[in-house]
Amino acid sequence: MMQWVLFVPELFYILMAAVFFCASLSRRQQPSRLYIWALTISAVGVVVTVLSARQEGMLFFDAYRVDLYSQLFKLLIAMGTFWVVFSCSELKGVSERQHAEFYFFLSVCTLAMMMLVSSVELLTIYVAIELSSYSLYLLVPMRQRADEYAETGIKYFMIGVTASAFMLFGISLLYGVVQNTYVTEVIRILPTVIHEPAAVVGLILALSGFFFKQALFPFHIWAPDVYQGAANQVTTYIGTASKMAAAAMVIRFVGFSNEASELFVQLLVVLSILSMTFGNLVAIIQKDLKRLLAYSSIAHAGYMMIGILSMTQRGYASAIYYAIAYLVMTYSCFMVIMRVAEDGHNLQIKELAGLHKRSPLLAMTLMLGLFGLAGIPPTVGFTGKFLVFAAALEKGYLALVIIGMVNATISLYYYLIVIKAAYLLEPVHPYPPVPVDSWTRTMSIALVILMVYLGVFPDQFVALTEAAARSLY
Amino acid sequence: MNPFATETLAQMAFWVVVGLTFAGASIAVFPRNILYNVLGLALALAGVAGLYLYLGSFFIALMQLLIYVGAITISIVFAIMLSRPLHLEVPRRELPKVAMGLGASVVFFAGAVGVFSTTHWVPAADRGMDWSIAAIGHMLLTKYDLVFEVISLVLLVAIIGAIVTAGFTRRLSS
Repeated sequence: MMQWVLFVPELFYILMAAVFFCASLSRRQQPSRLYIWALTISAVGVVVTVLSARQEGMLFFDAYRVDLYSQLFKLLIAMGTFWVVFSCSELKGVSERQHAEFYFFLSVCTLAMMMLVSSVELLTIYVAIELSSYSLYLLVPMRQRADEYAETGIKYFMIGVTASAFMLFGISLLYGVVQNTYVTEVIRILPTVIHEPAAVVGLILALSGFFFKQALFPFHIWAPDVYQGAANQVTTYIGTASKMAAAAMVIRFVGFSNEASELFVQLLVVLSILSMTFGNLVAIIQKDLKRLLAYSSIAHAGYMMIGILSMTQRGYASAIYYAIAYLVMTYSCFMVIMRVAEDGHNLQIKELAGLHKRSPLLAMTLMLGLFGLAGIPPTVGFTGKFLVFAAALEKGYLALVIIGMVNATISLYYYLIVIKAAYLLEPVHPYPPVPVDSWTRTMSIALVILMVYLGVFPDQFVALTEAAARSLY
Repeated sequence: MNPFATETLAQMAFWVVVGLTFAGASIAVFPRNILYNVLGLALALAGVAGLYLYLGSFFIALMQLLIYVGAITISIVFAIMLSRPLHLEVPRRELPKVAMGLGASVVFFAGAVGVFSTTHWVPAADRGMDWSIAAIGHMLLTKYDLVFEVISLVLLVAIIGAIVTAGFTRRLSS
């Protein structure tokens, strides 16, 4: 007996994809009408995911599991999608003829990531991640003056398929060792055979597909180019919603080994350190704001890994909290970028000069977002880092935590450069004022409140993430 | 025929098929004309179908022929037709790049061989099921139902993506 109610959020996004599929058939494209449709549907999508947050159960012959963990991440993905669609009112970066396809791929990708976080069967996981990757491969080169950025799309695609190939190879090794594709069985059997080389190598290779999405260190090469080359809205989507799905899957897969392998934990520690240090050091010399955020995302994948590799429930909970924080902070920064660069060009840091006069509210949103990313106290970023570091300290990773803190200090430098540009620098030649409509104003204020509230009163959210981590196994 | 001769014949068939697969794979990689690459790929995939046959899986061998040799190769040819013209000069191969590619694949191959040989593989318990087409069909519509359905969505995205991307290039070149 199928309990189709459990599947409602996914069904809803299938519907959204169908709507834009039909819209793409029409001869005349009306961007403003498509925008209204997309905004309404994705807003309802958030409501639907909230309403189905407390559902639990198994679907599709135990291949699909609906629990608090998956529903929380679905909510984050739906929020991310809604926010990205919200900023599409001036979708100048994408050719007007392709807006319907843009929303179609966006909704399919959201659907795929929702399926990804609920799948508990290796084949389903693989097909879901491919579905989301295909949509992203197509979204990245969708930019006006595509010939200039064609290289970006190809690079993303090539690196993506390589990561997929590694992942498939890893999954086949895992299957060879465990002889089952169901996650519950993998968790039960894998720790007993983790001493076999094929088990560890299989697990690492299977993880590489998600590390690619997360842009963790050896799989990060695509991030700066894709962040810079894709349209601003697509970059925002890759930087926010798609990172949530990747984080969810990394947490799930790392949990497979259940601490049984020392080697595996050490490898994760090394990856985390390299990712933080590399991302932060290279970010210092960036001039393009999107490129800077790409390197910062590489560093943040490292911070999140600190929580995950603790492999305790507290560690997973802290990583989930960090993911929430990262979603809010990164989106705040990107929203300002999309507003200031209204014609969809790549924003340079120096173009922010005098932003506090051109639009004080946006400047404040940007400042709080960047403070959060740097981990400065009243904001959510501080609480996130605190929880992650606390979880690692509990397991005795003192050196790792110290390296993380040093890195946070380094990162403060380049975030402050951006804030300095927005607040202290005088523009060389006057830039036009940034028009801020009432919707954007509302969203800015909401984001600012959210960032501070999540940072100052984290109790109930921490309780929520802990409950989600408990439902993981 | 005596059993020894059958055994030898089977062995020979196996090595012929392996040879075909490797020959096809090298044709797929080395020539600079991309159409030769596709034909080589088709040969390699047909060789893999032969391996499945040798392993006693008639159905999967047929599917391999139908899907990979048939459909995938044809779609690659379509992709070639939509991309840049073949008469243009291809860029020269650079030695450092070739060396790096070779090095990476050798390292990966050595690693894979190392992992395979050092792992203590436990043979799976016999599931005691028939692997007929009917059984596979049942599995596809029960246990692997979701994957089966999602794959069709993947194909839909791929088709629409192909249309969108090809629309790009045609507008640029005209």
